[in-house]
Amino acid sequence: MTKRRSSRRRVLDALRAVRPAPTPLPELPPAGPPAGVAAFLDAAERAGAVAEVLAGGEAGLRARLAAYAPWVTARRVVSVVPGLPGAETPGGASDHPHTFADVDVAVVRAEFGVAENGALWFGAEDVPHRAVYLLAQHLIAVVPAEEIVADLHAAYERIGSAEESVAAQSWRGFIAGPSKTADIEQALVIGAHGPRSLLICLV
Amino acid sequence: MTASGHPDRAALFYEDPERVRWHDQAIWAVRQNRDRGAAAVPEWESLRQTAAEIKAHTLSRLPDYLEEFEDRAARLGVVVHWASDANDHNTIVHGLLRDHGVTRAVKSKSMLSEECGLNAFLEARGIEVIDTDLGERIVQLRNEPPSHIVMPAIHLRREEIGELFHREFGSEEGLSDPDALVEVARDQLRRQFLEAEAGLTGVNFAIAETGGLVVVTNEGNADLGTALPRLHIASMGLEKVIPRLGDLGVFLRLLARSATGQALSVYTSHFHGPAPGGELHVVLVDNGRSGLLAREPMRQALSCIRCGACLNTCPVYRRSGGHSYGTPVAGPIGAVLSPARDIEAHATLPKACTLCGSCADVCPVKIDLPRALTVLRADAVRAERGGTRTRWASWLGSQLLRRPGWTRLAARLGRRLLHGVPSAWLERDPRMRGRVLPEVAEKSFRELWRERRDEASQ
Amino acid sequence: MLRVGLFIPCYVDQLAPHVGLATAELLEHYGCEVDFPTAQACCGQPFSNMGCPEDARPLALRFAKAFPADRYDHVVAPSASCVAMVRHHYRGLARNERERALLDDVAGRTCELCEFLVDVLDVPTATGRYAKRVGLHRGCHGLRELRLGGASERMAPGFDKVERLLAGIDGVEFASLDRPDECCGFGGTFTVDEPVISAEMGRDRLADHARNGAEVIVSTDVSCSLHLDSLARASEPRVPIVHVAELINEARKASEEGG
Repeated sequence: MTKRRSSRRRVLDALRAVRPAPTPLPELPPAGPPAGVAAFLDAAERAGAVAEVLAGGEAGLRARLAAYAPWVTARRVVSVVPGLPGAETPGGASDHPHTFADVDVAVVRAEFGVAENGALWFGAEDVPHRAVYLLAQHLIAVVPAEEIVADLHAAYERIGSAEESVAAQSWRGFIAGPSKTADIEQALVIGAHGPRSLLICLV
Repeated sequence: MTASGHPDRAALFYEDPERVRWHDQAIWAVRQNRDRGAAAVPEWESLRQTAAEIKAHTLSRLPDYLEEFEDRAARLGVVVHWASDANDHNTIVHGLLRDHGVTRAVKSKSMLSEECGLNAFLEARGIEVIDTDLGERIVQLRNEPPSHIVMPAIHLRREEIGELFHREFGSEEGLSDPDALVEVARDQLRRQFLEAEAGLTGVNFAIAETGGLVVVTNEGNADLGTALPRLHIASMGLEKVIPRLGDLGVFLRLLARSATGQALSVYTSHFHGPAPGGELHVVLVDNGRSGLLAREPMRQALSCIRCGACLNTCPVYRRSGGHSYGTPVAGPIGAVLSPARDIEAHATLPKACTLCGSCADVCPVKIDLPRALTVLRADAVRAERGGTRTRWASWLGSQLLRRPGWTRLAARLGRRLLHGVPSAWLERDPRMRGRVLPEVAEKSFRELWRERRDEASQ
Repeated sequence: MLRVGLFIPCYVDQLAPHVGLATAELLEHYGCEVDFPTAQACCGQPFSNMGCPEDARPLALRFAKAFPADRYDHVVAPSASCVAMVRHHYRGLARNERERALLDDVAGRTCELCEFLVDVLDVPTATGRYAKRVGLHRGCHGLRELRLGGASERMAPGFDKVERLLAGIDGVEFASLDRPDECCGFGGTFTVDEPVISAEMGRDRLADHARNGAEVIVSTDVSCSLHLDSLARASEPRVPIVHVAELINEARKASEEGG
């Protein structure tokens, strides 16, 4: 028996030697009552994001960006939303995440938002590489305003019942606000290793 | 482990009373943030109960869930390894890195890796490990262990961190503004992420039903560390498995609020199988956990989701600092986990506690920490070398206090003795500093009651 | 008339007997027949805390025998920590069914003074006059084991039996503390094992009360009070510390005298 298999056997045997009294697995709590866009915006702001409803939907995006400082000063922009001036719209998946190290702004799409915590749910199907979410100095996320669920119970009900299961993608995740740390004297600093800012546009 | 225990190491912390005061206030503020976060969830207490029940159920069927997880993860292309102890774990991780020709790896926060001494093991074999969580990087550069599981460098002032960065990174001398310091670290660590050949992470939750791993951070360091290199090795304690995807809703709603008061940590990444062209390995580690499973109330301690709330609320932790525990995990949960594995090495930890019960009230999975600590005190007494000093004192005390006549005699003698001893003598004992002994009453309650009863009958 | 057996902890007996008398007086005022069975001894908590439960067991059995059900409807103690020991930890000491039954029976009849007044005697509040700003010291055993009040870290509706009892007294104001229920640092064996931290915790409590204008600190537990007092006496200014029974009796007498 190889060392690897013997460790496995040893661990499982040690665990099986213990017979704790069985206890029931509780039902999952139900999703909370539907919460509105306002609740989401509030929670997102508390998480350090700038969150707003865009009048005019995606068409209004261009106008909004023209007034957004990180966009204006950006030298390199990557966007999954087509038609934005000066932005690269990547054709497909990239095998070279390091090439995105100098991206100033990334415009991405979130599938839905969670009202209780201002989080957005992302897959990596439309970005060239999931590294873009972390390497961009500033992140701009577009999400449909009607795709706001109340809380994480609702979120996981949705994720779990999606036609394409969560296991179909090697990475999916919630992102709630820009990266941050309070490791120095508990002083909150926005912009740790990931993006320094997150602009959320509900369209 | 030296002969010194928690009281001696806490005395070291107290050499700087200003720092103690500041440390206590800073962490109390985190506890208050937690209170606000919890108050925002009307069903908070019932959510804790649900979380406790999910964990209890999982622990009652742990091998089954681990096998289910292993099966599903393997189908997704994850390579699952099992390690019976720390050395086993370190050997596996080292083997993987060596086989892939890795000489530098980045690591996000993993208390398990701390427990196993992974960094030292790898460095001794020529592999550089960069801890990427800012707090962990800071203590790594200072060559000291983390003092808090969520805020590893909370024992340091900004000036000290500024000095450290000046020394290590050549940043401006005297820099102390947290924003500026983080900017320095961001720059330094970004380079490390881009040059890393492997990413090591811990695991917050492993989902049995899907074979997925969930890793949670605020800084994004676990994501950067695993998105750039092709090799991702995740180290996981056996107890981290949960049955269902939906269980994440319960735990995640409790985790960040309990830790810092945030509604959710910034990055909650769900890994299912390796990235295209990459490899994902998970190492399942026992290292004494099966032993804890075998004993109630220690089994409950395996429910821990590493939120740190018990540390933040503990009046003793706040005033003694994480290093005074001498364990990878400090505070109330650390005072259970380490002594439960090795009571002799950590005999003073269960007593570094007034049994105030606040930790049990904040624990999101309702671990009865005071009960576990009380049981561990009994373990410590049984394990006492030279065996019996405490036992003799206890037996004597019990014999004495069982017989009111003897108690009265001892008290009268004690009273006479205390009144005779000059207070200067007593104050020489460091335990008496700044205190005055209570005065023994002229007449005991029993005597006064008898008088009262006699008066009444006249 | 309820027959109450008074349990007086060893340290109250020797160091603060006036608290025992105040407790008896208070119970008699509310119509109880109060007796003090002399066979009682220590409740055994120190031994359990030290990690020697086998030495606590004989004391637990002695406790149960000192307060038989046919003589005492209730056992009342001016000590939340002793009562918590009886109610929550006696059961685990039993070695057989007979002992368990004995210990469960006495546990079911044992109360701390304030919870007895509020829950058993249904006293809505105490009355009288006591014109002082009171700092309520919420001792940990009472708060978190007996749930005499809502702990600040729990998300449960606020209530506090001690506060309720005192709130009706004319002139009582409550100091609003920065940390309403942080431990005083006594912890029994803790004050011997970790004296530095124990003293710091106690001093921090005193400073909180002083900072927020408490003119008197009231406590349900003499163990906490003695610890705080030993620190208070070493420094100025010194806020007096009283037991809740003493305060209630004093308030009642003040209004009786005042007319």
